[in-house]
Amino acid sequence: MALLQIAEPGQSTLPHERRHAVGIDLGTTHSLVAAVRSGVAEILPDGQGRRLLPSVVHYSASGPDLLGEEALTLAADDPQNTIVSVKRLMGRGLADAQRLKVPFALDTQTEGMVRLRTAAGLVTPVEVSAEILRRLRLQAEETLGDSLVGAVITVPAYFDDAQRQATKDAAQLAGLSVLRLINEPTAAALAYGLESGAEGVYAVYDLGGGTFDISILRLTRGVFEVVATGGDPELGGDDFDAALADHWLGQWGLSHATLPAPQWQSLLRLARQVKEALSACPTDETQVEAHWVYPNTPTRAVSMSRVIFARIAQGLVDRTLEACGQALADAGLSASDMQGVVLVGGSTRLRNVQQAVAGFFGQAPKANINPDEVVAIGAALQANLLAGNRAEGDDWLLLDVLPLSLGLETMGGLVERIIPRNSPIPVARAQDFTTFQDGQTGLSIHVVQGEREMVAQCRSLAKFDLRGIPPMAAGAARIRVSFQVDADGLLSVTAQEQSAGVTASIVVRPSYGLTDGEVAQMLQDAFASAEEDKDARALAEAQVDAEQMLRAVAAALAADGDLLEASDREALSTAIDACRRLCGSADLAGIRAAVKELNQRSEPFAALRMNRAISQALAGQSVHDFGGGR
Amino acid sequence: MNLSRSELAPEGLLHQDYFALFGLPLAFTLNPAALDAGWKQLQRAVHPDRFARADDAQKRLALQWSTRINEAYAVLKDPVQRAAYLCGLFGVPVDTQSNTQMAPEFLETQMMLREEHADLQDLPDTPARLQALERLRALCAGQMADGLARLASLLDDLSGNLGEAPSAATRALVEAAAMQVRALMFVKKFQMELG
Repeated sequence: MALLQIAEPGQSTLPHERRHAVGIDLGTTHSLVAAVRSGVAEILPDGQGRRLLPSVVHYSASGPDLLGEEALTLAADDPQNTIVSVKRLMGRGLADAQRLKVPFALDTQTEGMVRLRTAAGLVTPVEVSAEILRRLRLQAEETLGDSLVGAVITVPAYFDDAQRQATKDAAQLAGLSVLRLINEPTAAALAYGLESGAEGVYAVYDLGGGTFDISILRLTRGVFEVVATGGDPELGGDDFDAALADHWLGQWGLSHATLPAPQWQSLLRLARQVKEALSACPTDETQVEAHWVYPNTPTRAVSMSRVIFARIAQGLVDRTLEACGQALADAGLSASDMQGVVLVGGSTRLRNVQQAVAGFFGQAPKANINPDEVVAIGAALQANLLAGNRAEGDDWLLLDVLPLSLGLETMGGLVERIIPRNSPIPVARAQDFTTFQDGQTGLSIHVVQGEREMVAQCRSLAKFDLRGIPPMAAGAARIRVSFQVDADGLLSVTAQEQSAGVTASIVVRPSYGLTDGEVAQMLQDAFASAEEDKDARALAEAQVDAEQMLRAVAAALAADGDLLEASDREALSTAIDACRRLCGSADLAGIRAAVKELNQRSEPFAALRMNRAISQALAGQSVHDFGGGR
Repeated sequence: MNLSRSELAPEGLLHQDYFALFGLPLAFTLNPAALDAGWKQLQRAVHPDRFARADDAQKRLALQWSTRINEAYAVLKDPVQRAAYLCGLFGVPVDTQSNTQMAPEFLETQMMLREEHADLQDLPDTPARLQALERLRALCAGQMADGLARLASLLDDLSGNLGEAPSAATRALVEAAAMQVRALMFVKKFQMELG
């Protein structure tokens, strides 16, 4: 059998075979795309050289018509159709949106994830995010001159399952293949750690537009291990703007509650401008002066200095420091154990934030990579690694954790914890259940995420309805439910009746997510509106799948072909030849069948290879000297 | 290093115990640095990130193996869980659901401590109360340290082969250890409540 173009998975390939993968920071206020080009990770700007895309989408009757800067200019005049900060609504329900006081018209009819009423009809936060991701994808494809094999998309470390799933759904809608979701602070650590080759324990303090994250990471011999993570998903730069706006309203004897929403939005924009101007002031006492001008209301003068701002923002900053303390406690470490502290997110430009962080950790934080760009840069590095473009010797591994405990609802609305927070992922746990009535054939399981003891105080993730349990006497059935969290931090649930060996079917009802059916429908709609030929796209995808599969198997054979008996190798070769013959053809069903067949044929081989990898890992380990001894 | 095919039979490695998986001796006391290094080394080999562009079979295996290694790491890292796991390997499941057997004097002390804690719950946050809580925490920490030392003496020099019925002497040691593990689970739970 002739094998051409053999490349070890993960090893560098010839330039023309380079597989383009990008890192995307899908932010609350703005988003960025980056990629590794000629060995260097860099931001990919748009056609006009702009590096930051404001995360704003404007909707008109015909659909989403404007994005980014162009959409942002309409935020003041058309707030209900100009969707800003949509990240805060990902995987969130109506009540959450109301609590966050978003300026949009909310649909009160649907349950689950909140829907916004726009001129283009109802839209979900997932669809809005997909518009932003699609723009970034096209921008990247144009710059790189090729289609992408995939993307690493960052999420706040503190994002729960529903928020992560919503992000992944949005990527799917945008036509992006997600290589991995990684946490923003982890991405930032990657950008810093790889730059300096540092070892030790680091804290990453990430204060973005809408979220706050703190992560404690240990860097050893190319392994980035997240030891603990914490934060507040509803605390960010936007809250500092609101605190400032509230401060002025108080001075004028006005209240946010009685102020019309458009005026509040206008005042928030002024607050942000003043806040940003503060960072450039020569001293802490220097006054920034501005005027609030709004049609048909008296013009008002405002002024602010860093000293006063620090006092106004004190409560918000203290909340971030409390989360830092909790993360350190979870890691079993103290502030002085930190080798370094890294600042991420535009809000860490604020002087009072920098001072508070320096005071808490007892050292000056690092900020030599642009805090707006560092996350996308780290994501691009990881995307490049996962796409298999790494150069020899240029290798690392991210070991991340589950940010929030997973639990089940038990009697009396109490939570029984099944996987504690900060468990390294992927992770799985099994739990046995039984029936409480004779002949019972169904069971409902409510999964929640959070640290509190009562179900009502945690986030509801989903209800799983088990069906098809064989009828038995009460208490006789033993249903083992397995919870698996994958490397993206996403949960899946399977169930099996132990005595009869029947796999119970599971119907998932996500509390704030979209069902698989809804995502499929949106994809359908997206195809229809883009006037793309669905069949052509399906064929192209199947061809890419087949080629990827062939490449993977060829690489596997080159590396570990000696593990196979001659007869097994023969059977595998036959499947490879069949797949190779079909992969360039227009026979969609044929290609799919050939890929399926090849997958099945290579399964035992895959198991043998994995075992060899494990044995070799241990063999390599025993030669190390760990010191200390027993 | 290349292993022969029989050594690499899929069922062989999958059924290895956690100690063997990490290349550690079958004993309660372990070298934490070796455990950490072994964990990272194994994850380097199997983590799903190593297989992001591999075929589906390989991806599925990577997820399973990476999950299993994390599970093993969690059990071995925690001394109480590690001891419980060892007892199970030697044929004495700790099984807290059906077996609650514990030394009477230990239970008596625990009852007393819990009552003391319950009384403290209702009191205002005075220095005296905080001091009393601190004393309870110190007592628990002492019980934990003593218990772990005892587990080491019971479980560090076990003889016999896994899979064979243990000798009477080994069995007695492991049964004593299982009782100690149950006691320490009790202490651990109380420590959580104390905060």
